[in-house]
Amino acid sequence: MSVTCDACNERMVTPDAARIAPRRREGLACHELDDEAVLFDNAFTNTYRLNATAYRVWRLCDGGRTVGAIARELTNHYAVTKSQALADVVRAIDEMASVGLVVAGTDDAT
Amino acid sequence: MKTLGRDGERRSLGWVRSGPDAANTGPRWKPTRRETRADAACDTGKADARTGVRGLRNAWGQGGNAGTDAAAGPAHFRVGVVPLSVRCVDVSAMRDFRALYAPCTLDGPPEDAIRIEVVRTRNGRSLRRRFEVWADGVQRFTVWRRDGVLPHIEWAINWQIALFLPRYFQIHAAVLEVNGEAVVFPADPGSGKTTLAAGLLARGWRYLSDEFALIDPDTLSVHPYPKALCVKEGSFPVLDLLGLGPRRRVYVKGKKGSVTFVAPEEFGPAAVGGPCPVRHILFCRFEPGRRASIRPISRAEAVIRLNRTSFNFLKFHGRGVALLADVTRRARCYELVSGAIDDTCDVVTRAVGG
Repeated sequence: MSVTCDACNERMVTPDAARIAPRRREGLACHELDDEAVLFDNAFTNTYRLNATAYRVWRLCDGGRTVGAIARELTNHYAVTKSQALADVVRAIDEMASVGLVVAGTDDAT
Repeated sequence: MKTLGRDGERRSLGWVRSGPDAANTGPRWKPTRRETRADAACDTGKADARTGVRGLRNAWGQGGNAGTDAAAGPAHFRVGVVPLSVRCVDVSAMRDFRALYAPCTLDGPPEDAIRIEVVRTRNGRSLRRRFEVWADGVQRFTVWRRDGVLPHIEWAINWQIALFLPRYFQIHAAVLEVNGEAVVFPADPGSGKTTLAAGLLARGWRYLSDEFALIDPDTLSVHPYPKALCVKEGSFPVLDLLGLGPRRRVYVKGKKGSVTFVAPEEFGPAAVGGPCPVRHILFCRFEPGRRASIRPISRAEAVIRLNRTSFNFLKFHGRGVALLADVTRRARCYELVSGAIDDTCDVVTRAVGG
């Protein structure tokens, strides 16, 4: 979904990233605390804290919305540009996918 | 002859002993408690879930080199919600333990007690004398110095609580009560929990523990384990400031160094609190020379930090996170950087409203 640029060491969104429709992985226990959340992965007994933004992103990962759609929704709530929102959402979903909080699918599949 | 301990009594290092605990030594070649246990294990050959070795409960009170002297115990206690039976071949340590826990003394053995026994053996090669601290049939520590026995009894008890008190969700924390509400101070070892607890006790707060927050998963109340405060050498000047006297008995707790114990009753007859709901959680960190400061943290962050300081989180499986989330929903959570004791107590008192 994103690659790290060798020159500037920053993550760049790959062209197909916006078409991926991630969904929350099943089997996670979610405990909402104020506007944040704690997720418990019973399979690996790991616990994760999502801050308010990450929690909003995670909730929007329903397998129906693409990353681009999630980024667009966030621009309604936060004062960020679309490109910045897309980059941040990609990074957040990358991190969540790396620890198994979301699984990726594409809008082709859905 | 050589002086042992800090009580000034001169004791012989030979097998033929003089002094008040002479009767405990027993016959020269009497089997040690450890051997008795090994024999018991071999007889049955079955493991026991709690003791580790079946048959050891039956061996309690039968043989061993502490078995014949009333001064050596066993003595029985209920320290808050923790039932204990303690037997110690070293009567001076046993006497100190009884004094620290006098208000918790029971006439008979409590049900499901943690059983601590200190026996005396010799090193197989050097023949140097040593104490072995056993807990529920498992040897926890070898102690070479007489003034190390009492801290290791405490340590063994803490170990057993962490391993075998499944009813409560356990957090490594000091817990005090003010206005009927519990204030929990989770922290890593050496973060100043006990010193802070002593400072707040001196201000009239009530004591639940300096080591464990024992949370009932059904009621979410924290229950008392009012063990004697174990104060490390670096905080001895604080005890002087609090008027707890410079002439306290000092013990050696292995690599942790010198420690002393303060019974909570030294702060007043009503210094020990009862079960109460958690209303404040302060993660504390000691930074010498810094002004005390406090900042609110989110409940989600508090859950993650509590998880890290829990002793038995995994035993509760997924329920542990739910429980911590429920506890934090009812509490205000802070990060406390502590410095000088008076300053820190002021900051905490203002935040909590005590």
